[in-house]
Amino acid sequence: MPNRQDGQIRCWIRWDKMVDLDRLKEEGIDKLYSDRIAVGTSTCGIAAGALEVLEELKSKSDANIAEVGCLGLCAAEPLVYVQEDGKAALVYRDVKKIEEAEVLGWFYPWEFSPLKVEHPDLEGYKEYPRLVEHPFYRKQVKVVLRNCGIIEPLDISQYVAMGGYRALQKILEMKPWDVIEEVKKSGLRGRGGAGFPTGLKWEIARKNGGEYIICNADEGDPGAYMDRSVLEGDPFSVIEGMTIGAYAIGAKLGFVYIRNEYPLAVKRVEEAIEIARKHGFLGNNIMGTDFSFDIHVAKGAGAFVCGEETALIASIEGYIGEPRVRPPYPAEKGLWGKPTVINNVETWANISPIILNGWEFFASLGTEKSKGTKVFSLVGRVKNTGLIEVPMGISLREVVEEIGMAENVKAVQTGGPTGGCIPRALMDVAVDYEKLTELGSIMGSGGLVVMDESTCMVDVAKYFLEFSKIESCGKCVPCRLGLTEMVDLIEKITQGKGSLSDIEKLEKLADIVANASLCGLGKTAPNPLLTTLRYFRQEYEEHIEGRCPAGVCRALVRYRIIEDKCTGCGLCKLNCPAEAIDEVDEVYKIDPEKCISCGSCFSVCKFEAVERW
Amino acid sequence: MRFLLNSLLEIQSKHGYLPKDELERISKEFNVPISRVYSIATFYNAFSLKPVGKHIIHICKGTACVIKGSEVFEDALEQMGVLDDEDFTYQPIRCFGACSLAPVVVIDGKVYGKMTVNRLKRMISKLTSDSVVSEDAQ
Repeated sequence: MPNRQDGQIRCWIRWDKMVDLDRLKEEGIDKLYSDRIAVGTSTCGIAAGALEVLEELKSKSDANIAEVGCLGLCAAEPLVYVQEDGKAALVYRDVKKIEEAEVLGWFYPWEFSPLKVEHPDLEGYKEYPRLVEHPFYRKQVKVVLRNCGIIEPLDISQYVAMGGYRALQKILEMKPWDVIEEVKKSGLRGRGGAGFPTGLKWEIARKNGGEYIICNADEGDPGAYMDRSVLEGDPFSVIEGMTIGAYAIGAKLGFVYIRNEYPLAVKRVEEAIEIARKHGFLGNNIMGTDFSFDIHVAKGAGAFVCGEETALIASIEGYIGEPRVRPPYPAEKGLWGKPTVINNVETWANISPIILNGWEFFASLGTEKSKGTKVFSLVGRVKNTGLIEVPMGISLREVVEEIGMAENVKAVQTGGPTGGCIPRALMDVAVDYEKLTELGSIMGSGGLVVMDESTCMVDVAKYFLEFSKIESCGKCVPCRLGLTEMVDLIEKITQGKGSLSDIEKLEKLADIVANASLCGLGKTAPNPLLTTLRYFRQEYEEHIEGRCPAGVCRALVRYRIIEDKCTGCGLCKLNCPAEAIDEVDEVYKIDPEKCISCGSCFSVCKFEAVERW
Repeated sequence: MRFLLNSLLEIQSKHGYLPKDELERISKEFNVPISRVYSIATFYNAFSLKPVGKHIIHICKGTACVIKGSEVFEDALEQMGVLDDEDFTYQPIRCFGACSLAPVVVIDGKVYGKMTVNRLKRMISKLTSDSVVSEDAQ
């Protein structure tokens, strides 16, 4: 039986189960810094053709080829880096054919990590730019993503070589309460969106006799893939964080709840758990002590609401994902009625750097109330799409315009489908839980969707309301019926059939849904509507007058081809989903009867020959 | 440790849907009423109670994909008659997490990024003649 008495230090009792971290580290260093070619094969890399590159490399070269996670700059995928002859890693971008690939920059494999790790001396390149000076990387500070894209995700020795499992080793000699105190002092807040202090959550669970640990990897926000990248690129960081959490609160069993849409992440985590068990980092007598803990994977099945903690718990228990009334909170009464700590992937991945570098290190990053870093997926109308990690307190403008190199930004949407749209004029706001809330948005889990002039804000609000309506579990009336009614009203406006009184009705309904819903989904679902109304009311009014300034709402726009400008290339016809375009006398014409006003021809035409009116 | 959802997902991926006898088996195995198994099967998007076609097409309707115009792909599928074709099963999906490659379409489990209507049309016509997506038409 594990020792559950507080205040007592765990004893090292099983010599046969002790882990030789130094030996693993040596093995990892050998692999990490040997001559090798690494290909980024996360989901996004694979979609960009990384597997074909991998095949080609394997057939042409007898070099040591490694599959790694995501280096972040998804816009340049497939990314491949080469390490040879005692030199630093040289990254190639957009690798389609190996011979023709272009150099992105070079980096030292350890330089992104905040942990102090042992490494050989490598020589840099003078003729190529350094990756840390690239606009995309310059302002980033990696804590959570420290190993992503660097190590082979399932090679535990490389994880250890990058400082992995030192934190677990350290806390096994600490008292559980001291571990909780360390996390409390660091100021870490839940990265799933609500920002509840992690240490406090652990303390409540421990006081109630903590039983279970859950990692919330049900990353349902469209436009967000931070958790997927961490699980695919560095699964041990999450497993180690959970193990430390289990020790701190006294749990024996943990669960990772991953959405089924992430098959690669599921596979990596399952395999990583198996490997950790084999090496004595999970299971009975972890690292030779009397502390035992194990983790199981539970899969989600495509329900957004299961990201809500009580719905997620219901789902693991084998029920439909309906949220339960809080309080009691899971830390008091959670899975199967027992005290449960539930944190998201990013939160867990933060734990070991906090333990290893001390709370002061973490608390020195960020703002007064929001400490540390935050991972964002920067997507939408932005040049450098990708996965970034920045210190809290950085301005949205720096993120979007400097890191993302976006131009003509109209708004940035933060916080997923129930977040808000922040207009360009307010983009100097600091990334901080409280500051974003002041603007009517939320931090959320970290999706940042950039919008430009081609995005219609009313259409965007409609999209998010529809999303929330469909994903509402249906348990409570305000959310179920209120959102349905709101979608009908906004639909009317996008068709040019709305009136000013509809806007008033929408505002009233939004207030009811936000205040009377049971869980976070309903409470925040009106955010996209309220923020777009607050910052882009003009656009709503224009729709009511029958105009869609961005030219998105189909009922309000028409397209025609200007004969003089048409070169007859036929690209519009090829890209017309409705077969509404045909060639007449060497130029193309749109059949207004068949045209669905989707704007496909407008966006593909290279000669500005398609006119919107 | 066995989870009800994991078991149902296994059945779903094995048969492409949840056959009635399998649901009854699960009800016995987990000792839960069949009504609860049914409620789960109808609540979660990943499950289907009807058999699926030879080819499964998912169009991503996540934020990044929609902003980059993924909604026209549905129109293209409709125009091509795919939506009424028994050989095809079309399911919109809320985000695959490959947002940097938006707009994304998934055909028979393979993710295709930066999709265009033209490319989609060519891939679908290939599917109607062959059985597998052999060439990634650019």
